[in-house]
Amino acid sequence: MNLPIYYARAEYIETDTGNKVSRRATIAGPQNIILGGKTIISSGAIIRGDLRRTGPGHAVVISLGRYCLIGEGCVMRPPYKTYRGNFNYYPMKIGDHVHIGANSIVEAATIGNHVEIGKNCIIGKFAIIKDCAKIADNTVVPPNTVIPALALFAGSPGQFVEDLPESTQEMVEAHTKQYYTRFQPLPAER
Amino acid sequence: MPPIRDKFTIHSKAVVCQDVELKGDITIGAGNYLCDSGSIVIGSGCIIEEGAIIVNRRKEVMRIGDDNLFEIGCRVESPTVGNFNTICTRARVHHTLRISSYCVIGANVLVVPTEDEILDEYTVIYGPARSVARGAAGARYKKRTSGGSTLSI
Repeated sequence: MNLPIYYARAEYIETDTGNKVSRRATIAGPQNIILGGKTIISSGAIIRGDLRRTGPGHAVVISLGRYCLIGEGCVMRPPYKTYRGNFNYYPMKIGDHVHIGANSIVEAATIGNHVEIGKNCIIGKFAIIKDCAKIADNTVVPPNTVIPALALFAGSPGQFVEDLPESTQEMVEAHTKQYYTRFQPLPAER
Repeated sequence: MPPIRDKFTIHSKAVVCQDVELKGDITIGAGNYLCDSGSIVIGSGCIIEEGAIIVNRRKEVMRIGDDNLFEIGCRVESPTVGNFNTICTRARVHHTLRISSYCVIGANVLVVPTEDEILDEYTVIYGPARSVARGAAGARYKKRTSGGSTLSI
């Protein structure tokens, strides 16, 4: 159960705060992206920090919390809309202990803490996902959806399936921390 | 299939990531994959997002009109696409369907007509698990399974 998940040391860049970012991930506009620490960004992921709000000054486009995982081939893009005739991108905020499965597309406005998103999901523009929610694999969450806390959503369009137990927070926290400790570089060949 | 010849006409205001024939001012996001087996002409004001795949399956020129939006990871093989269409995230359109104007193909939908078909204007196609197609203004309902059978409701 606690076997390490090995990766090639050359493939990932590790920062001072313990973030592990694949060299094969496309990070556009890194100055507009904040990683909370101990976050893993897998290979093939696309994170668009260059799609920022128009206007002067420094703008945070995508902020990720601690112990997050962006799966392989994920696309993270800030949502956009035309408001009062002005086209603009809006920031995307993701909490701590959030796991996003492989090949999911996320254009949410806010994702809370301890959220699990499965593989091949599509999270529509301006979706708000509250704490401890879970999105099953292959779910299509339409734009502007609000997913309440401790809810399991599945299907296309994504619908409420069941309430999650109150222990979800501890479970997800333990799982994400364990994943981070298991994710380590392959020791050199002897 | 004849060998792929490189011949591009690109407007000075166009932002292009990878090889395709383009005309007019077109904005394209990063990581696009534009597969060019025949020639493709794209009008002005089109947005092609990350990982969108546009393929010309036929011998004749594939024409895409103006102001179309191809969202993340969609795949379009339609021989013609009109103006002001939206192909949503990860939707897939087969080469037997011609898209007219003002249509929306919903997220994750798979449109696979068995014989050649032209999508009416203002048609919205959506549905769960890559299957349902719906006619304009509720006048026509159509359901297509991913296997390609067509049935009217």
